[in-house]
Amino acid sequence: MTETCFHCCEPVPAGCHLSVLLDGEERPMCCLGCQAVAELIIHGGNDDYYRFREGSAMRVDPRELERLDQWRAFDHDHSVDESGLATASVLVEGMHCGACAWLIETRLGRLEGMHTVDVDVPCGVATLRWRPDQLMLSEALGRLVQLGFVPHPLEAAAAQDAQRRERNNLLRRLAVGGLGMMQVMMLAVGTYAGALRGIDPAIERLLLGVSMLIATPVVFYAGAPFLVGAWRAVQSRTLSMDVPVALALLLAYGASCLHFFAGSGTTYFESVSMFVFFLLCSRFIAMLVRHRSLDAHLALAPMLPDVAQRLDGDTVTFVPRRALKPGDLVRVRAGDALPADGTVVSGHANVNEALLSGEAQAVAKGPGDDVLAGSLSIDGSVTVRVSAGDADSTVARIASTLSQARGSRPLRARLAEKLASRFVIAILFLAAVVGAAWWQIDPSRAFAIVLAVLVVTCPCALSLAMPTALSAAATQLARNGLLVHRLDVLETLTHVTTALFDKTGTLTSSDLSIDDVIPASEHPHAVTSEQLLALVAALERHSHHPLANAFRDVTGEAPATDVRTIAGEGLTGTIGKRRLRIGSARFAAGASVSVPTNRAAIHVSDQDGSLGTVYLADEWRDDAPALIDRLRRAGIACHIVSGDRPERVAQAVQELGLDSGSAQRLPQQKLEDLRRRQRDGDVILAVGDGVNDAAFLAGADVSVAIASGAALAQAGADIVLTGRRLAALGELPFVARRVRAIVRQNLAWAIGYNVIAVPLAALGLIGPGFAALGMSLSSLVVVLNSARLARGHTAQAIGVNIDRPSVHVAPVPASPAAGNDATVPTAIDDVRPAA
Amino acid sequence: MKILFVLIPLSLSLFAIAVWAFFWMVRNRQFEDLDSAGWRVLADDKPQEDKTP
Repeated sequence: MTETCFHCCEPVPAGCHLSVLLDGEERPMCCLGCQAVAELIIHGGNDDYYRFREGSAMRVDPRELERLDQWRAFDHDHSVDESGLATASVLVEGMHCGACAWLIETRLGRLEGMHTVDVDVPCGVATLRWRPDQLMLSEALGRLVQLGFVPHPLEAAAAQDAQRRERNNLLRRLAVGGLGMMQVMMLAVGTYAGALRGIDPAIERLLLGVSMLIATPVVFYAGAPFLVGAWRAVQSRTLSMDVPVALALLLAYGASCLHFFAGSGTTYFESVSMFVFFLLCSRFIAMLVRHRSLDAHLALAPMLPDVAQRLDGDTVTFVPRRALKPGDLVRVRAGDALPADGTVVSGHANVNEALLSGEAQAVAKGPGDDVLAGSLSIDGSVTVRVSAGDADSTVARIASTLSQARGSRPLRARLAEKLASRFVIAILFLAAVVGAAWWQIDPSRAFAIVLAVLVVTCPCALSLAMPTALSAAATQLARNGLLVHRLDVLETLTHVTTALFDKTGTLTSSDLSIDDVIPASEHPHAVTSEQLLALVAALERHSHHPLANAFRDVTGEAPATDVRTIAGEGLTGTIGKRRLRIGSARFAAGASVSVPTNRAAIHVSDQDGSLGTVYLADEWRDDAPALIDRLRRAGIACHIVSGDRPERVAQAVQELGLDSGSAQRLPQQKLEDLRRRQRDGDVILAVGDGVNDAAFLAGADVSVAIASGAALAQAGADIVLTGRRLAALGELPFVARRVRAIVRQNLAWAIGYNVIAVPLAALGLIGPGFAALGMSLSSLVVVLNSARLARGHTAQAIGVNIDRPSVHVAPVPASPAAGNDATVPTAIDDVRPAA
Repeated sequence: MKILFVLIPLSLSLFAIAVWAFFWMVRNRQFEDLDSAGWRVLADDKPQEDKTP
């Protein structure tokens, strides 16, 4: 078990001797799939991928490599633009880092007829543009599969197009604003020097004239979002932050132009330009944050099969899932997910509906039973009559609801908006009062002073204080494998007192290990624990069921012959004189044996009766103890809330160092536990992975979902853990505290600046030019201060991992066996063959 | 200082060129994929025939 696969970094099973040659060394491979992929990568001259990648690749299912034909379904599912290029967006599962992006870009770009490949790593989306007369999309998708990724073609990605347009639009304005600001500022330095030392009037006219020429596009093109926003606000009779901004812009620009043409009076072109540029910067940052949040539909894509096998009479056609219509017949093979809601017409299968019901136990389905899209046929092949189109399936509707829920602003943000509009009223009122006062004192200075007040009170630094700090922290967290969907939870996190963990899939990994072996003593030829394990292992060698992995380290078995898989029941085989049956209690021993629920059990019997039972349990994640330790050091109490047996929960409390645990909780009870704690004044951080945790996560003050878990749990969560390292979570409270400190510094600075600058401006001691300079510098201080969050702490967060030995649950017996009791409470991913 | 009457309009044209170049970059999707370009430099360029079908 010391060797790990060079491609996917998973352990190489015993007895597997695959390898690839790289840099003169044999690199071990865990399976034929990984080997094929690694050979393709290396022989294509992309071996640099292995040198530069961050983290491991996904394990490759050799079955996927044999199924490249199915992607032909997408060959005519795209539109062609006027230049003869077709475009498709593909969600690429398994793409994590720049090296992956590079690999995809070079290898797909090499295909004859491929025009461009654009890869967006944070979103995991590749956008392909190709010439349909030279290249079929299926070739590109097949190539992605061969490189070890799983492609999911996306529906004509309207949302992404809109995002791209918005970003490009703002980028252009930013360029005009930035370049213009620099030019005007440079010219302004000339006029400043001229004011001090005297200047040729002709040259001053030239400098001002060119300044006006440049400031015009800056105000009306780069500044258009503010002008338009203010106009809309006025039309709908509300006051947004844009109103005083637009007012200041137009007043300053208008007055400057008048003064220029009149040939006397102050001009403010440089103030106006800088003002626009800094405002645009904050708007751009806010947009980037908004775009990063994950679309629930995108999260759902990997859970549903992209291609369905439609039965047209006797022939099977591969069609895109989206092309299925009610009434179509589809074939679903063992191990595949159902593409649509429908009714079983023929065939029997055990179906895992964990994606929707959260119930990990498979349900037997036969003709006449209803099945749901996204559930997984574990062992049988069925034919299903589709009852709802793709957009109307139950999962798609849930995803839509979640998207809408996320789109609606949280309460806190609306409160901020209300405050902002009061602030705006106060600014306008103040400006009016100051203007009226100066009109009495010295009408010639009134205008310049009103302008200075408007510019100086610009809520720039104030409005930048929070978003810049939050987005810098989010960037840093994303680098450590934590995607923050709702930035305001970073603030809530500082108040968290209690963390509640789900067990399965959260504190445990998907790997199973042998928990307990109980041989039956009443059998005439009774066996010891070791012998029992060896018997099971011998049979499980022949099984592809995920449970079989638990037995791959067991040694000492005799060869089994005549092994057969009985779908949904178990295995039969012969070892020596024993004719063995292993699997569910009903299958192996008759229904007489009482089965402990919620625990994977493999019953073993031969022709003379029951030989015993092997129990399986999931393993703790290696870094779970480190995480608990870190959180407790942050003063957060850690509890486990599990549906599992009390003994197992007690074990968790003891081995992981938790504060307490409650066992056998149903999803509803988990939520009640959480509510009870909240009533007692606790602020709860909830960590879970399954849809059965969705309610529990939704009720928490801060929720974290594990990315390998159910898509719908992620879609509802505030934060998603995308990396494999659970320990990254331990940094959350610390990062949140740093964010709070930085935000407080920023606010103190911004408010302090206003408190000093506003009276000065109102008294006419600073002109609009210096007001703009001060405002810009104060914003710059805030931005730079926030940027400190994006640096540092990486090494620490990555280093948290392995200073403790991993905690294994099994009493470590030495041999393999596994059964087909699909009664393990695992998330759907665990059962899915390399989805 | 008369030279300024030439130099400043000249800088104005540079400004125009810079803005045009930036727009061109945006239009040519140079800001779409900021991740893989950095790796292209690091990786040795080994143009090789793609052997797979």
